[in-house]
Amino acid sequence: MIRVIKAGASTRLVDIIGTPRRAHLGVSIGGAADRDSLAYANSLVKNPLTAAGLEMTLLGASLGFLVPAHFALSGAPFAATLNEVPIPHHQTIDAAAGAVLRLQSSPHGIRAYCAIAGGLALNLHRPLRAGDTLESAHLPQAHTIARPPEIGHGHLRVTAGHAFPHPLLRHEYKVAPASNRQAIFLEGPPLPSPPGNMITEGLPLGAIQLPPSGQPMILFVDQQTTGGYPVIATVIHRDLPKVGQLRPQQAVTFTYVTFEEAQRLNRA
Amino acid sequence: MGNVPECLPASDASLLARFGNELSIAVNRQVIALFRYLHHASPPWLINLHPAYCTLLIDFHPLLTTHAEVEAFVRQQPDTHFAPIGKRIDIPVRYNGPDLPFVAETHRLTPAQVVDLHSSAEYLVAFLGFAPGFAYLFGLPTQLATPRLDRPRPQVPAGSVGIAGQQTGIYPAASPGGWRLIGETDFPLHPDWAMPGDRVRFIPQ
Repeated sequence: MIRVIKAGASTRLVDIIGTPRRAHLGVSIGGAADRDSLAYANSLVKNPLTAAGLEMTLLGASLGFLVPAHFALSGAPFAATLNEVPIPHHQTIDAAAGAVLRLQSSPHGIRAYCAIAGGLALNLHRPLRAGDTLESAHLPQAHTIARPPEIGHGHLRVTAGHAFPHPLLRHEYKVAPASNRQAIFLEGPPLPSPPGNMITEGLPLGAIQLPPSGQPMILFVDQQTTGGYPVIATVIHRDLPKVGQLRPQQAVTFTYVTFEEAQRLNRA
Repeated sequence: MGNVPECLPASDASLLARFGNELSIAVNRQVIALFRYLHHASPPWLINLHPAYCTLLIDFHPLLTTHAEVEAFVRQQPDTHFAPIGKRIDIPVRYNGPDLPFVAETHRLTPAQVVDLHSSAEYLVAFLGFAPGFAYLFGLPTQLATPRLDRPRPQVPAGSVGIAGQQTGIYPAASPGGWRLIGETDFPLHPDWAMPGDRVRFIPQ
């Protein structure tokens, strides 16, 4: 139904559910790095918000439509063309059979999403390659509402780690280039490494670990499920999609909130 | 009344149940018992369970429940002092690892004695973590405890059996690693090859 002409830097089939209830097997939650953007793209094409779509990182893919389709783009505002004509994000676009969609890149955000009406079959669990064919999931229309994503700022709200009631993350950090879906590595003034050995324990999504280097790291969707470095804070649920849009060299700052505030923000 | 864990918020969407601060089978059994209870009860808000040596991390959907409700659910666990014993898994091993001579020399044993010791013990799967299908095992004979390599190997083949400190384990996938490699297995280590509480034996080939 869709032929991958060029795969871009890293393009994957993802949904906003991932692989829950497998952490006890060492399997991380996975799924879309910016769940807000994929959900929003799905809402535009009247898909269930849980439909699978395409996640493109840093540099977009080129896709050929083998059958007519409706699609929408969201996430990082990668420059996009359909048959060489520029097209906007956040609109439903009709593609004729034979049309070619090309995505480039954008100066802010790092991941763009493409939802196709009917959803895509989530049958390839690896980065896509040129020549792959993507099949429709033939999902029925759904009238869903999703919040438009926030792209481009690195201001994250966190709750304090249970052993670190005093806020440690008071400086501005920069996103290190080695960052990926497993972890966002931060560079900044080194923090004192807490003494003692920790016994390996489970790590929540968004945990900010402090390794002996003193440079914190944010564990993300493809994280290790357990680990032994102290967790000094965790990103609130509401702000996890923003973590999925952090670019190398981008500035990141943290605001501490209480669990009650986090709960209110998550439900707002 | 069984031992009630200390419950701490680990994030706005997770609760950490802690049964103590020691590496012991008795503490780990309580973790496994709570893991099994929640795994089978399968409440709708449950996202993930991360058992470890003495803690169970419970990830929940933050729009569907709260820390207090999850803690109340944990406290409803029926009184079970001991987790039921899991299944037994035999792992065939070719004891031909590059570090087998080092492990033997370190402990003034022959390689054959290392193999005998390693394969005569029964191991308990404390939990799986770090990577899909990576099992943390209790039960390495203390005579075999060997420090990690000073410099990790850039690539350890999938199926390698190794020792690191008091731990022994199997690499389910090729990865960098600092464990002392004593053997290898062809046993298929899909992520669900073992569950916390299962028992493992290594069978020399």
